[in-house]
Amino acid sequence: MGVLDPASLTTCGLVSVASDGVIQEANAAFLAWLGRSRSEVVGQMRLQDRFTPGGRLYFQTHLLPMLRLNGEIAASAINMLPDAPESVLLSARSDPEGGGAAFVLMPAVERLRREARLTERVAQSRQKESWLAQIETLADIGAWAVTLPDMKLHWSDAVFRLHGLPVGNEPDLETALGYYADPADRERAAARFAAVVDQGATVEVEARIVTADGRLRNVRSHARPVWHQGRIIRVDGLFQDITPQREAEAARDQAVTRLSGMAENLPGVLLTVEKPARGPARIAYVSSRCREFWGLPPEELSRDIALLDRPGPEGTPAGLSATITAALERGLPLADRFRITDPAGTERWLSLCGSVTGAGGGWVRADCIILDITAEVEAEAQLERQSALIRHVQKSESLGQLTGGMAHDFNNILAVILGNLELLRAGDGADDEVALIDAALAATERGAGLTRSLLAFARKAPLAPAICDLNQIVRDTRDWTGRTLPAHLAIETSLLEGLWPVEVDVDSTASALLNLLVNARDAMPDGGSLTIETANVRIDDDYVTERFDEVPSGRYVMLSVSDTGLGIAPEVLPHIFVPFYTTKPVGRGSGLGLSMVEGFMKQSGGTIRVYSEPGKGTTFKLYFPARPGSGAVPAPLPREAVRGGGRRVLLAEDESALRTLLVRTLEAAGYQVITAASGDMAADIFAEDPGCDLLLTDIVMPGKLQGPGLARALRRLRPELPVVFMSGYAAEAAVHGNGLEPDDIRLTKPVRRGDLIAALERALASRRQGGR
Amino acid sequence: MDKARPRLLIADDNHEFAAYIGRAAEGAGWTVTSCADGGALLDSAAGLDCPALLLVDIDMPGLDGIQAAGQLARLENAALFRLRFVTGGAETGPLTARMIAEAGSIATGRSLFKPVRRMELLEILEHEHHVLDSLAEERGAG
Repeated sequence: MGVLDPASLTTCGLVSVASDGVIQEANAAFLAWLGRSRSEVVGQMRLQDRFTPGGRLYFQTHLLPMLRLNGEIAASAINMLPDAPESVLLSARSDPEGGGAAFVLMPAVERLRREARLTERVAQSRQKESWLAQIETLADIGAWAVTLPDMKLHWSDAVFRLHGLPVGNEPDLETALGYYADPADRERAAARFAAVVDQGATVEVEARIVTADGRLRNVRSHARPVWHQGRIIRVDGLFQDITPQREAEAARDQAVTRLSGMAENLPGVLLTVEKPARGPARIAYVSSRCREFWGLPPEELSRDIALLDRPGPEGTPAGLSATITAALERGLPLADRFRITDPAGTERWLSLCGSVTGAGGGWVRADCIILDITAEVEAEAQLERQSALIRHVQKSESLGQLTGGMAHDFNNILAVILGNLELLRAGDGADDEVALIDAALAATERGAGLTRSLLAFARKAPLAPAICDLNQIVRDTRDWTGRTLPAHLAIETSLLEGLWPVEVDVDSTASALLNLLVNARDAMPDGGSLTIETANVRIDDDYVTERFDEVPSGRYVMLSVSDTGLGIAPEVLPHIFVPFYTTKPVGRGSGLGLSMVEGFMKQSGGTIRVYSEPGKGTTFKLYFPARPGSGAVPAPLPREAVRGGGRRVLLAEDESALRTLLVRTLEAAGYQVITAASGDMAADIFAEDPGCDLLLTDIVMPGKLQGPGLARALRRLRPELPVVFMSGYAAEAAVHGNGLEPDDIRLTKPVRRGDLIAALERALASRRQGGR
Repeated sequence: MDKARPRLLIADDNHEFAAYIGRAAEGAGWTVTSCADGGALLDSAAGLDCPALLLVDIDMPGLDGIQAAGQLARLENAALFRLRFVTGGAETGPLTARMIAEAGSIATGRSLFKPVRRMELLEILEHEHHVLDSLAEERGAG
């Protein structure tokens, strides 16, 4: 026996017995069970005496015969007496020579423990199987294996399911590969499998299969080798249905394509701006149409949010970035309009709509859409203008209806009064009665004239514009008004050849002209001359004497009527276009003529100007817009080089706004200007310092000295002084013999900048030539 | 029938005006019938058997001057009428009435605008007297 006796170390009891059952040897574990010494046991006790009575019976009737018959007993449970482990497993082998036997008694607790461990392992493995089954089902993943070298294929349940097959007999490898929809995929999969088997590679194949029930699925198969003692004994694989992922990817791709398509085709820009809790806002996304508004591609525009602020029409920033930043800080929704000038110089209205959301971690995000609403804004403005016009028209119309109705009723009354007065007058009345009747008749006639004017005012004849030659209208009107104008009026016409055509209502134009002719006639009760003139003019910013704010810049045809009559007093001038305002004696004028002419000019897209000098005469100028595309467009005057050369101009003009305008023009042209608000003031300035090179003066001014008088006074001091006169009044006749010399240049208002400078230069040059 | 006395039918709801025209016309030797409105004018006109001048106001209650012009043209003896319109209102009324009357082959003359001076009226009556005479001669010849 060695140092370590296994029999002494085991927890099992080891016992040998003789043929009579007496114990011949026992190990320590058995002696310890019995709690006896060796001498008390060996040769003293029978083994079966240590069993419970039931156990002893079972031993004698079952186990001993089995031992004799078979020579051994396999582990059988038996109960021992209480001073030993209750239940033991008893195994035995008989000694065929001695008739004795050897017994192993294993405590049943050990057995139970082993059994418990086994049970646990089984349970764990069942759990794992269940998990695997769940994974297979939930993830549509199956496992497969091919054993080598017999090439037998094994499938998990999921693989059968994924192939649309009942769980059961695996197909062979070739049949399995046959499920791939595309023959090319089949070859590819076979080649990859060969690579695993031959080279030990780990491979992956993605392809489509047609399942047994005819569905098309996207699948992915992995394969890896399993090594054992330097050989590949098996190929393990996973088989996964990735159709849902592929479909989701396709749907996502489609959605992305759709969204980016929308962003590109939207008539505007999508913009996302982000801002951290502390720090500046920045552009996180902007769609590519931003080029149209800002002239920059998205990546450049995104560099700085301030780039959004393109200047508006007045040069002020559009304030987009400030508005967005403020909304981000306050978390308020965005809804605003901005006006910007795009890179092409076009003015645009942009609408900004958006909402602000928290993006976590103190970040906020504004998602905005910016649309070009220029057309809508213009339509709104147009609508506003139209409704204003409609309100005005409705007002005029109701006034017209009221006036017309009143005139009608009034005429009926007048008719009775007049008729009966005349019947009276036809009778044989006394002379003083006749005088009284005549006075009443005259008053009735005046009333009739007034109602006639009211009716004319109320007449709502819509304009019927036609393309026509204004000269022809003038000729026709002259022909049929010639008879009504008195003989002591000299009528002159100066009609420009090649007059641009205009599109106007012929009758209304003739009527307006007639109105002006009648006014001119009435202004010259003692005779005089009447001038009708036509000209092509260009209205633009080049006029230095006045602004034509009420009509757009462009080409106009001018028709003017000038008389050498009484003129209109300056204090009356502002009122002459007001309806019912008249300076004529009662019964002579209705006060409606000029207001109708003005209304007609406005309706025709033109304007009317009046220039008058009391005691000299009056000029009315009608400006009709020239038909587009007719005649050559005269180029705007080039900005002349500065050429005043520092020469000094004494300017006498009583209208302060006009004076300021003239000073600015002259100074810009290089002249020094000394201003005077009247002729008298100009004379005083000159007496003090006669060092000016030229006098530029209005003809009519308040005070003692008018333009011509001022010129005479200054020339007494300096005879060679060049003088340029300005007047709105056109009739040449009015300026003869009143202080103007033949060389003097007279400009007619409105005066163009170029004409003014040219006149000054001409006046200065002629004086130098003729200078003595 | 007295050939020297021409016939005048005046239709106006303004009785005083009609009375004034009537007196002036009678003084000039006309036989005058006054009608208060368009309906009365149609009744009187239908009974005419010699040429006559019809002086018709535009604005009348019931049948107005313009409507009357249309209906007069449908009368059998329409060829006997000379039509003149008179109004205190705008020119468009008489203009329309004349166009309607002439479309129905009734001869019309220049319209009168109230108030109407006696001299103007007498000139028109004299002119119309000649026209009616020549109408009567044509009928006599025809």
